[in-house]
Amino acid sequence: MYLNLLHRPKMGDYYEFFKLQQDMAHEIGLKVTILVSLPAMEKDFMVEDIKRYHEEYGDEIGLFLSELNCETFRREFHCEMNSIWLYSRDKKERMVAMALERFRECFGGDPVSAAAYYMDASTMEVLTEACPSLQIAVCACFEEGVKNFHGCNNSWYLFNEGGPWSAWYPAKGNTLRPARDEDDAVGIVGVCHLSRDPALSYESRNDFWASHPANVQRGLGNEGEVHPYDFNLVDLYRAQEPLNGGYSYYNVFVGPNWLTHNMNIEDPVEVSQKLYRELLEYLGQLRDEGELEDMTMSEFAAWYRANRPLGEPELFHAREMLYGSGKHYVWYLDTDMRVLIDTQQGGSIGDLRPYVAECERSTGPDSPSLYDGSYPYLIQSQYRSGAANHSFDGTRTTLAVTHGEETVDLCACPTKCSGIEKDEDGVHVSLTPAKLRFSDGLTAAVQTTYHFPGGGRILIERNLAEVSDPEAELQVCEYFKGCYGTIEYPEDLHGVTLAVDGDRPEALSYAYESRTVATTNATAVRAVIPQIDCTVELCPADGAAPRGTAVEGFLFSPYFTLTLETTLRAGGSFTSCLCLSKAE
Amino acid sequence: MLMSEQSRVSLRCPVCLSRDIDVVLYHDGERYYCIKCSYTGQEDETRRMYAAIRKKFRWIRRRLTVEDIEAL
Repeated sequence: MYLNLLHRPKMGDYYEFFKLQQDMAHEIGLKVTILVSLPAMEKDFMVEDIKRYHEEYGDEIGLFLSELNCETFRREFHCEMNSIWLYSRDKKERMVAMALERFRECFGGDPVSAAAYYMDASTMEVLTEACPSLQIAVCACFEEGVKNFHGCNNSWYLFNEGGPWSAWYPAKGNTLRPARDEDDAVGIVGVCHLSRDPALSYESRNDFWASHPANVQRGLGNEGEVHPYDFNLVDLYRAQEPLNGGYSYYNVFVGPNWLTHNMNIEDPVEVSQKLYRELLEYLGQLRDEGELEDMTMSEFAAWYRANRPLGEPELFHAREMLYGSGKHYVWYLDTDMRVLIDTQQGGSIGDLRPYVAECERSTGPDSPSLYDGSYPYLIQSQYRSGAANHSFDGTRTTLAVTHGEETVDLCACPTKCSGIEKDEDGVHVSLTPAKLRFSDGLTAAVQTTYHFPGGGRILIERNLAEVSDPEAELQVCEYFKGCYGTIEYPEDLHGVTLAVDGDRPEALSYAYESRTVATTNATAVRAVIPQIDCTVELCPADGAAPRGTAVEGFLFSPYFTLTLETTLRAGGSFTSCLCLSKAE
Repeated sequence: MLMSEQSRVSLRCPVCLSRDIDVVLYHDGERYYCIKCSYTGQEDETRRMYAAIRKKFRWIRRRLTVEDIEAL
């Protein structure tokens, strides 16, 4: 595992706690990158201390762009907002120029590393153009958006869901999208702000469950000084090494405000400080054992460039480790898509982001996105209903298995990930069999394997592994329910085209009329979503399916549904190809 | 151990927190109250409710090594 330990000085009383963090790190001998804000650079004593840290300990000095508010800044911009990504491009340019000029004055050169909670495409472009020396930036918070907004009383405007969870090469036009190639790439390495829990950040707040002991305290995930979750999360990331060419990346980026009184922590200050120290001690222990290498940010950037080619898929096999469910989630990421397999729901897709559509996203008052930097989803089962609960279901995939008049939805059949393999054909994620029981006593097992061959395709292979009556014929329906959006509320689906190919090709334009187009011998069923320049298509991997449908929703169920249906007996299998492409 | 002048502890509303929402309680003497919901209680009651929230974390005291995680 590669570690970046990041510290940032803060003003006033908080400065003492920054020095405490620095002392802890240096006592343990961990490399630190200090990210310096504009306000900190106005304080000569801070600049001198930071230079001394650099000279004595080799700490890297980078630029922090998520704290801007100081006298000079207010005089120039007449605003107290610290979020650079939420200013207009013109102001971003002036702010970056001001910060870089001050940085050069203080430290005699340009930074090689920088950080902000989020850097939208225009911030990234402005920064990399103004600072060619930049190698790496903290530029996103994995799955920070809707849930944090709610959790902070609808007052935290940091929406950047739908991106990578670790390190990547940000693309031009959308920082959260991994670049296809050098032409498409911004030119620096991006890393997330903190290493989040990829299971609990999907289910709940990412600012509770991260490589940040005080965040865990905020979520009540510790009992005083007892805090194994902080170490478990480190080890969960270490467990990913075999899936990603032997590497995993972790960063710790805790502001000093979390080591003193904090209104969101009920533990005494001494506990907060002790937990932080113990996390650093554990990371130091792993380094001493040869299990971890601590680096500055630019050192990690150099390692990443030398060892991780553009376009390499990334995987995370998450296990839930706090509630005690042991639930598995598998995240897959490449240049065309980000996919979450929710194994608990029979192996459904719980989140799907079509990078292949290359949705551009800058934020600020001069952008139609305004505050919202999230990459659009086709499926988000937490925000958009997922499996039916109150009324109709929402965005998700599943397999419906019918015997006689009875249908079992695989979402009710828990599975786990049984293996992840890579070969020349791509990545293959196998699940344990989903066990089905019908009311007449018939039992069956469906084993699902996801294949990721690249090119925006997901092959979903369903094997009917067991049936208690070998003569029984089961109808199976591969089911995709989608829409587009970034938050919980529905977007306008007018203009989406739904179509089927087969014996009777047919299409309709979405108008919330609850219509269905269907065909026998279906070769493809699809939705074209011009709002996000994306086509999603479900087709049989081989030949035609006996029946395929595309179903329009209505305003109480604002989705579209694509299905392929066939019949299976024991030992039979059906493979569908879910294809994402950029709509012309 | 470094202590801030602000080395006091505030309390969040346990009802809102059980919904993953941070709301710092106001207080009137020893009685704490929430301005977002109708929760009211003293510090000891509030802390008992935090303990109740923590009960959902069955593995809050469980250390999981890499090997343990791989076996889950």
